[in-house]
Amino acid sequence: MKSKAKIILALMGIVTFVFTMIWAVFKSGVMASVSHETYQQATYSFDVVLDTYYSETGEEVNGIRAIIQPQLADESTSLPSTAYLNASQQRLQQWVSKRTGDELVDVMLMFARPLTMAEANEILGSTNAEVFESAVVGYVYGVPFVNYAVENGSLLTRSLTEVAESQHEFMIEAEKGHIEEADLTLVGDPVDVRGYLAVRAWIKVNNLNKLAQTPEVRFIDTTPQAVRDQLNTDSNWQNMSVTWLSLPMPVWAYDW
Amino acid sequence: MKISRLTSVLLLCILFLILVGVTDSIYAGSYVGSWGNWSGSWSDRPREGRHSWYNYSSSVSWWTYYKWTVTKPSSGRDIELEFYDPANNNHCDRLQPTNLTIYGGNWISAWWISNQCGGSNAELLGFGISSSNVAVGSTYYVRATADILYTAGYGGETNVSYTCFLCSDDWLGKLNYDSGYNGTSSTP
Repeated sequence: MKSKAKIILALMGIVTFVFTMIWAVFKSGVMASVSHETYQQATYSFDVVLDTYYSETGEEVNGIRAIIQPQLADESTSLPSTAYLNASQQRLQQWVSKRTGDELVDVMLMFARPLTMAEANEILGSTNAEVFESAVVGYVYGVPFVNYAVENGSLLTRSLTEVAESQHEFMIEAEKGHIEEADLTLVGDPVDVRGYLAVRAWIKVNNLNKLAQTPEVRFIDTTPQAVRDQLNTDSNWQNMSVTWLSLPMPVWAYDW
Repeated sequence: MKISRLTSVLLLCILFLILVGVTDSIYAGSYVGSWGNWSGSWSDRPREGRHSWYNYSSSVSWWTYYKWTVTKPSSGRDIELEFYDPANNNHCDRLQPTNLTIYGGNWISAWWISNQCGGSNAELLGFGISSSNVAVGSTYYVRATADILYTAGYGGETNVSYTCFLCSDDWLGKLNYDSGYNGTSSTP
């Protein structure tokens, strides 16, 4: 009996040891493989990378950063493909019927034309949007520009006049000869800020249809939230905060 | 007409507020680096460029110029504007990038900011290059702005790196600033 018990105990010990080793190897393998990943979907791909840093108290903070690459109409343009836009639109309709109305989703609003701050805020305010990124387009001495900015409020706060004032440095750079004279158009207003052409915002699901039917909204890109949904269910990235989710704003694809 | 003491104080306060408002939009100092060669070793890196730096009371603006003279950038290349010293993980949380202006057309695909060190503030602004829209021999430039969060201590530096997803950085150059966030020197 004693020798049987010993054998059973020894077997249990071996099994425990083997399982521990398998767990350790498997776990370390997972840890090593989740510092980055590239995902390919039908109409877009995205790269995910750990955005880990150490706080001043030495605490390790885990976050992730993702960059979305939409399928483009062709390589030289920023215009998303028709398939990409259709998929985004279908996703929106699915969400409206399936998700909770109060749920906030991360979307990009592409405007049909450049809007003033007041015009954009009227649309955003009517849906209680929370804006966190914006793109303003314009010309300075005839050179086209897009100004991307982090927004920290529920609505936009920079008037087009303020954006124009911030371009005074361009004139200094031009005067110093840093910008090729051939690129400059020295007639008319030196700075012509056309307006806000795109924003990223958190929008409640039950406001998506209203926004989609607003004439000033060209389209709503739902891909950022689709990526967030996938990251939330992916065991590699669960419980990690998304520190930045980058989606190109196709501001150069349209006339303004 | 006699002005009461209270009125005088009020007028002085208004004048002070106006001055603060005006000076906030006028740069306190600027720095212009010379046009020259970027460092680095990658064959498809931009070879030439320069820095300009504008210091305001609450923010800084950093202009960087790029010219590819040998070959176009390969696809998937990024440029990182590091508002800190990545080699020593120093000067973290001082300057937080918030804003990027791209001039000249569709040569940048996406942009992002990232927290690289210190507390919860970001120090890095990155952008992807649309290689198919970059021509050899043309000059490209961006203006990045960052909020000043803390004093500059004895001064510090910002760095430019050429990189790609999961690549180690190819260091291109840097700009030094003094204890008042005034640009002092740069490479190139």
